[in-house]
Amino acid sequence: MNAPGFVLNLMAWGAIFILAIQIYRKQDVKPIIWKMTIVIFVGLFSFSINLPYMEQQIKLAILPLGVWILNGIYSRKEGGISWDKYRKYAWLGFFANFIFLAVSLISPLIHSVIFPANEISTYLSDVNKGKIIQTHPSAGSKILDIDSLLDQLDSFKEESVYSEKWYYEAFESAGELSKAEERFPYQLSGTEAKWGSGIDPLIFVEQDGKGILISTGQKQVYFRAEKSLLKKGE
Amino acid sequence: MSKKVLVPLLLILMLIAGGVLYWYYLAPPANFPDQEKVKETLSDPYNRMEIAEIQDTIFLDDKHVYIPFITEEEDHGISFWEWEKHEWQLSSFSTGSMPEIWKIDADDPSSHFIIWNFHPENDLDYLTFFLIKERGFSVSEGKEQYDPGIQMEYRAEAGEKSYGYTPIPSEWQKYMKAENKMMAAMIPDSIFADFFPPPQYYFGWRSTAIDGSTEYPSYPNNNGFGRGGSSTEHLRFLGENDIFE
Repeated sequence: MNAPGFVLNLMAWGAIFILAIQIYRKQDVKPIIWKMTIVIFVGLFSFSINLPYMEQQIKLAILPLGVWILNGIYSRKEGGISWDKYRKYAWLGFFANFIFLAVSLISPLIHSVIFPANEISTYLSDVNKGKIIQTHPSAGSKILDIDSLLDQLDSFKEESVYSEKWYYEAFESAGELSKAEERFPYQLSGTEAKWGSGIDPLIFVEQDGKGILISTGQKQVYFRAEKSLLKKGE
Repeated sequence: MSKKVLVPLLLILMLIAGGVLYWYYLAPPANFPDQEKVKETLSDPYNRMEIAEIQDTIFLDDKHVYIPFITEEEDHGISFWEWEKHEWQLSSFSTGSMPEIWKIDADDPSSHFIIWNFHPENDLDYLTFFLIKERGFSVSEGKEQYDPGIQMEYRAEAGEKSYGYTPIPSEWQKYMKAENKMMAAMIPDSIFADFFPPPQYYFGWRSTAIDGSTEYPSYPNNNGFGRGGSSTEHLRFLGENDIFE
């Protein structure tokens, strides 16, 4: 679960709720509450465009489709009196898009402060149930050296991912793609990322046991340790 | 209509809807049809097969059954049966020498089974199944990503019977789950997101005969046919050049 995102979303809904109450209090002719709730939800419906932002997509609402639909329905009823009752809620629904936009702008910033992307503890918080899986036949038969991993958790150094170089090095050494040894032939499974980060990383360990490659779906990070994290299996 | 009529009417409608829902989706499965009925369903002219023998009835779980069979032309085939809409239905079948994977629940690798049925004349010693992902890399907007090559193997003895099945090995499951979750994290966080990247791995197979040959076991013929459901997938036959040895 992405805890900061969850909390911010709750706050956004809280803000929408408070705004709805404000409008309701000021109205002389009160709407029916369940209809008002539906109007807010329909008002949310919009034509929007996706923009990239901090390794994810944010939605910028442009056309208030929901408001138009509601206008079409209500303006014909009771000569527009009905629309007077509900118009503000429909626009509140559309406006809510921008509250959620603010959430998606702030949320990754907060997330990156609490869960820094360049610290290995973000991805490897609980390693006690860690296990090594050999994902390629070029891997030696090794198991996880849990003491070595725990000892070094604080001293990992982030390095660049040289994806292109790694790929072609493997290729050149073998001449044929399928016959190349794999640089990262082990998967580290069973570990937990930091609680509340909402990250489910796919973690690979390097042939020499000293490198860890972590993919989150949004980005990839690479860490090196001084000593090997693997030992000979029994 | 007055409320006196409306309320009981609504109640009755809800009861009927609930009953239908229960009947179609929740009721426990009935007994599996007997061999004659199974033969009859498979021999449907539309399926273009004459069934000579039903070899076995294997329950993979209480709603999914695997039935290996032999046709009049000595083709060995596999068929999958599902309890759906209160009926045992033939969901897919195929003949010809191709193992298949049946993903009972697409999201849960522990419900995936590899299933095969080879003619005994092929004299198979063992089968090797592979989980494979090609090595890859990408560089875009300064973001580098390296995808390690995956090749995991599982060996299944051919044994006495022509047919067999195996669940996905637990190490494969662990990898597949981690990869699936990572792919899911690539989807923009939205109700209206419409793209779902498929997993990048695939399944392959090889066979080794008693004489050591790793040729494609093609007896009696490999012009198989069948009708597949969305939850089944043929494994790719891999040559020596496709794998790391």
